[in-house]
Amino acid sequence: MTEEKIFNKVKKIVAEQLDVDQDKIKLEADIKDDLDADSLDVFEIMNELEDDLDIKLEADENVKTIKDVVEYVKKQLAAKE
Amino acid sequence: MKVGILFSGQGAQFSNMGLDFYQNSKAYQETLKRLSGYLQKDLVAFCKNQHNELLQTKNVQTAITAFGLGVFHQLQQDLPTIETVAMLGLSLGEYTALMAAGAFDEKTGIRLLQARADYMQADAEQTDGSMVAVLRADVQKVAKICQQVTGEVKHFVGIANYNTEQQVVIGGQSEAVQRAITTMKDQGIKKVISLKVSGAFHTPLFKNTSQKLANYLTNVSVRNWQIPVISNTTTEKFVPNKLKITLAKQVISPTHFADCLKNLQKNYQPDLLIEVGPGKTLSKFANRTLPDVPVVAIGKWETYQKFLTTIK
Repeated sequence: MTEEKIFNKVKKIVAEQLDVDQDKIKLEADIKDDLDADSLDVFEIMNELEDDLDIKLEADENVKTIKDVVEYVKKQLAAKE
Repeated sequence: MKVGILFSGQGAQFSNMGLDFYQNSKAYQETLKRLSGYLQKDLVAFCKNQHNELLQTKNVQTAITAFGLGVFHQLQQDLPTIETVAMLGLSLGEYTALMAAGAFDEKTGIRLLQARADYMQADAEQTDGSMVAVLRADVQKVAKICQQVTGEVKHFVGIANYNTEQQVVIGGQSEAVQRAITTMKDQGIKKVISLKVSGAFHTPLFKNTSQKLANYLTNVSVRNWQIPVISNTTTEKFVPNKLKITLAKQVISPTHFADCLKNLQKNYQPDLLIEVGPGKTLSKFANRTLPDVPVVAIGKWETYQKFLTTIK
């Protein structure tokens, strides 16, 4: 899966969970500070990605920005192969 | 336009919440000043949170209600023609709703809420309670596990918040909650996350609060009110002769926010839901439960101004 595809997937899930427009979700956006997510939101987002992509993600992994999430997903997808 | 209003509960607070409203809205500013006067406390200082005032239940509850009422009064001024068909609040948000609807005058309502917050703070300090969110699980199964664990360890754990169909929160004595987590994981329920709370709200761990609140309520006068307020405890609208008993029960009973939203939709058919208060938690619940009803969260002055331009 390309980084762009992962980003689009993350955008869709984050937009739905946080009720924000997809075009507001930039790679550099801080999930908690810029997108107003709480830790439960982050947990839900991780869970959604886990189920959709059939990978394992820890909610307390050090993710701050959308870019961190994309990279973490990429790493876990690579580990699966 | 028919509008349903949702008032935030504890957990929605953030530092400097509402200061933008305080600077821009006279109605908001006056509300905060009046309520601070009734309590002999500085609610604006709580909202600033310079000394972590918002970490304490006894400060947060009145601060969130003051925020909600302040915005509500500004809303009434700006949009006098909207028809508020019903209101709903989460936990302490029910007090905001009842005050906004007129069941309590402001002085009575805010002092009652302060008493509740003080009692809850005391119970939270005296009991070792915790809460965890459980996502996308079979609720019946979660309830059964809690019941079984309560029987085994002789300490309470049970469902405290039915937030959406996909999200419930269990709460109780920490030991029992831990055991419930292990049992759930053994049975395949793994989407579990601990919440940062100071106690197991809406469980029997707050029975002292419930008793003290019932006593306090005996001397509180309830006025006739027009706008229906739907109760978290019964999922039906509050009725005058049962209001006090329902509020006393509320602190030891689960909240049923999803069912409340469904009843709101079924009985009052709002065209729009407005969440009034800091944060967006209730909007998220509403999006999940009533995907066809638009929701707007008014927690910041800027968002509020944008909302006004879209609605006028």
